[in-house]
Amino acid sequence: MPKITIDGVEIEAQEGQTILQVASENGIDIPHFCYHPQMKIAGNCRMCLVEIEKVPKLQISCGTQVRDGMVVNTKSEKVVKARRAIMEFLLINHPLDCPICDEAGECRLQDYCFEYGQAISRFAEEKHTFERLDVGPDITRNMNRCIHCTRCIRFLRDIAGIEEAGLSERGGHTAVGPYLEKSYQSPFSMNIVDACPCGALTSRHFRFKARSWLMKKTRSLCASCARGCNAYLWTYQGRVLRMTPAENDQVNQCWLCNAGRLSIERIHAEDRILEPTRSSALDEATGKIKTYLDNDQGDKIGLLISPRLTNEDNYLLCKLAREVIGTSWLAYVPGEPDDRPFGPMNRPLPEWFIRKDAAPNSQGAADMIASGDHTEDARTLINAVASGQIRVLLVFSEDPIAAFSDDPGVAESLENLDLLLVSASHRNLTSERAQMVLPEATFAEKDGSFTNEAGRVQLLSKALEPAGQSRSAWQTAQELAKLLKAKWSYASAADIMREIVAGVPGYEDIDPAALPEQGALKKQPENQDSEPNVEGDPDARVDPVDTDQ
Amino acid sequence: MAEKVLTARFEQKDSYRLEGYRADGGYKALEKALGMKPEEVIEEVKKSGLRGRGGAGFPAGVKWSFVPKESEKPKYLCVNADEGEPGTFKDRYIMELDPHALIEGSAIAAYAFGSHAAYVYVRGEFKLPMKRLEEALAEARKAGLIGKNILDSGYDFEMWVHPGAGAYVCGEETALIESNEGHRGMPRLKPPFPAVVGLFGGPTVVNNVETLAYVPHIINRGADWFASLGPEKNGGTKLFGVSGHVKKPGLYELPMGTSLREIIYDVCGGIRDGKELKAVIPGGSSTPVLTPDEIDVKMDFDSLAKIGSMFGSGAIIVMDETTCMVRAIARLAKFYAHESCGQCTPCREGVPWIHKILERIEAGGGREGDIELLLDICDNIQGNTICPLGDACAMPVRGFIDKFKAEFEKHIKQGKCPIGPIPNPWINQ
Repeated sequence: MPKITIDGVEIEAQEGQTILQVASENGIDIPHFCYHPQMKIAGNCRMCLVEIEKVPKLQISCGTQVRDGMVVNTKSEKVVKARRAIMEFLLINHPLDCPICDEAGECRLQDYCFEYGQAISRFAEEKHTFERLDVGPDITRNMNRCIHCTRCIRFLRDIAGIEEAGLSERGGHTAVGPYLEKSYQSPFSMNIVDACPCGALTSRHFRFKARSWLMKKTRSLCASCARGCNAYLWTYQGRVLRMTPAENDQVNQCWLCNAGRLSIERIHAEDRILEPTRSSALDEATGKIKTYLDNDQGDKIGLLISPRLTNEDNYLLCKLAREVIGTSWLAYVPGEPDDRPFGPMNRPLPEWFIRKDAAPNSQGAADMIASGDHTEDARTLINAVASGQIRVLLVFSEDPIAAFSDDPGVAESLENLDLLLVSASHRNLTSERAQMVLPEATFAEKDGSFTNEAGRVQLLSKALEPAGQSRSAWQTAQELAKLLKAKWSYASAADIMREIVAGVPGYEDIDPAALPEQGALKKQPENQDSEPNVEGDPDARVDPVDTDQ
Repeated sequence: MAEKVLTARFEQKDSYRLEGYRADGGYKALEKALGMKPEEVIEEVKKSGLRGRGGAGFPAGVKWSFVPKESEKPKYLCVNADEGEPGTFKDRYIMELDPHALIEGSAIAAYAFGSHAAYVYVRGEFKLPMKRLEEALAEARKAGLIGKNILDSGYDFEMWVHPGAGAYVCGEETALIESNEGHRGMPRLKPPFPAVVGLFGGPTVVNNVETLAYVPHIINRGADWFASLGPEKNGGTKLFGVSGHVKKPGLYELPMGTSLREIIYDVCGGIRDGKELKAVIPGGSSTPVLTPDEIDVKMDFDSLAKIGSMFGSGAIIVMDETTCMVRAIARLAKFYAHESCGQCTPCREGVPWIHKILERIEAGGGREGDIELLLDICDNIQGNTICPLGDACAMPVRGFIDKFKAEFEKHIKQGKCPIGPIPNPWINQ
């Protein structure tokens, strides 16, 4: 292993690492713009130039591999002069519009300007200017601010796998943008807004809504598919204004899809359910349920839980069904199976990133249901409603009319129920027919956990207070249980998680305290019929031994 | 007059046809080389002292020897015919008047480092050179001089013309490779060097047209003969393109080491209209300018380096006393600002900045401190870029200021150009 010296400190590095990588692993900050850990090296910004002993010219630390005995200086006079020079060059044509720029506060150019910039500009000439361009419905390009780092080009070409951005013109007129002024089509295009180190690319959905330093940033999860992308929810004045990726190398690296980012708009949608149908709704429902229980007819009551609910929600709903109501009519509608490898892997994002299962917690829902002995699948349960076996149906975060749209009889049979209670965050086909509707919190408004497709248990954190009277499904479940005289006292989702770890197979090794940031894999069940869809790069994985031979 | 090597056939009728080329002994060198071991060919060229005629002056044989013998990917020869350095006009004439010399030289070079394919990257504006080269390639292909099993040697060698699209930066070898692959012409990061990872990922040698055209002569007449034509380590003759205020501008083949004074006053007949010499750019617009008291310098790589300039491509631009130095360098800076590929920060931002300042000074808007600012910008560009284009602007700017500082100061002090506006050549004076 090569030993190198950076700023007088001897460091043992890995073969093939670059100076910048070794430096950042060892807490030495080398300023840079174009370098991005997930992207190919471009070496064009020249900000990361360092001095290497016995090499006459300064070298880019992002593109120079370490050699044994290399002596690197990242703070010499020559290096600092070069950095100041690069900053000056980048700023001569950059507008002074930080006060109206969305990037302000999280702008590399601004940060390094503070360190290496000059208060007075020596540039007395006219600046280059360009027209503003909306590159599609999601992104605006302000070429005047661009520093030509080509991160957007490299992301779209190498990571999103679509060649739709490039350089046009030359010299100081060089523009970065979509070919022939078209818009970006990639379903991952908004990652270039995050990747852009200055304000050249901004989100049209977020533009001018809030200054970055005024918002609260909550690390949580995206709930738009079974990947379980780690994400930051940015809130201000009671609204989620944007969602940006949080790093997790086992799940989403540092990317999010556009659909996931824009899913936050649903949180504040017009069709949110904010209060129960009647304030007495839950009492009335309890009364109805009681009449069945008193006649020992708990098995006429069914519960439809959901892969959109947290493990804590589903666990408590299962417990309600089994221990309080005493029914085995307990089911969820599973998402579409996905036989593609889960990744993350070194292939274009469209091949693996967005999962076919659009619910965030199918795995967890299956696990919570499987923790008891008897369950039914959702269609059997719906058929039982049609046949009259089930007279009371409690639906949580599910829309059976939409889910079973192939069966036109579902709507009518639901209307014939003695009681249809729907707990949902948004109005849907089923809630429109329910006698009672309870408001439910969205993923942004609650704590809990999801188990993603690869079996990784990850934490959801409350970024906002629940809208109106909405609340988590587990709270509704506990309320119902209490009304039915059960002695439950869960104060938080964490309380329930402790019980899940103690009782749900596969979750026994999970340490709840270790869940924040990266989550933890649950134990994979042995002798599964099909190969589990595990994390990692299948190209890099050793193939299992062929047992047929 | 000294011996002519490359231009010997230029004045013959139909000098570009295969028939005449073969009648003059053409392709004998290829035949001879194919009978030698490749290492022997490299050794001979190394011994001849042939240095790259594109501008950098790197020994050609040494360059070939950097190519790894074994390679999984095909090896390529790229012929740099993107002659774009302002003042340079030599390669075009080789392609127009003696294209078979280039084809033969390329075949020998390719054989020497084990390549079976060559691309000639020709500057897009060179319509006639391209046509002549295509015709010559067709003739050679028909005669079995390129293609499968050339001259029944068992060696395959194919050669194609790839037109450029008029970007100066594509004369830089890695930008040439990028453009030859069909990408936007922008220099690549080095390492890896082209000899290891070049065209289509294979080991690649990029040689200038003139360099390759000398190779058949070296094989035919020996390394010692070639080396003896010029001073030590600067073997051979050289094509000099002389332009500007001399009586007889044009292309001249002279031994390496001929003095600049001899070229200007004897070969080119001195300064026109009885004017005085004011400045000479010795090797193409990127090379630092010389003053009249420096013109006794010998025109070869080492002698010019010694006095702080560069031999470059041998393009001599002569300026007489009527020339405004600020206007001259402003015009050159405009060229570099236009030709910067826009990839790396110092060149993309710094070079147009230099141009704007120079234009402002020439227009009478010069300010105190502008000269120091220009020098500091040059300093901030030089050595910090991906390719030498930024340096190629900074070096002459620095050179013009060093040698003609008083003229810059006069512009700034007087708030106007002391020489006045350019005389309109369309009005008879």
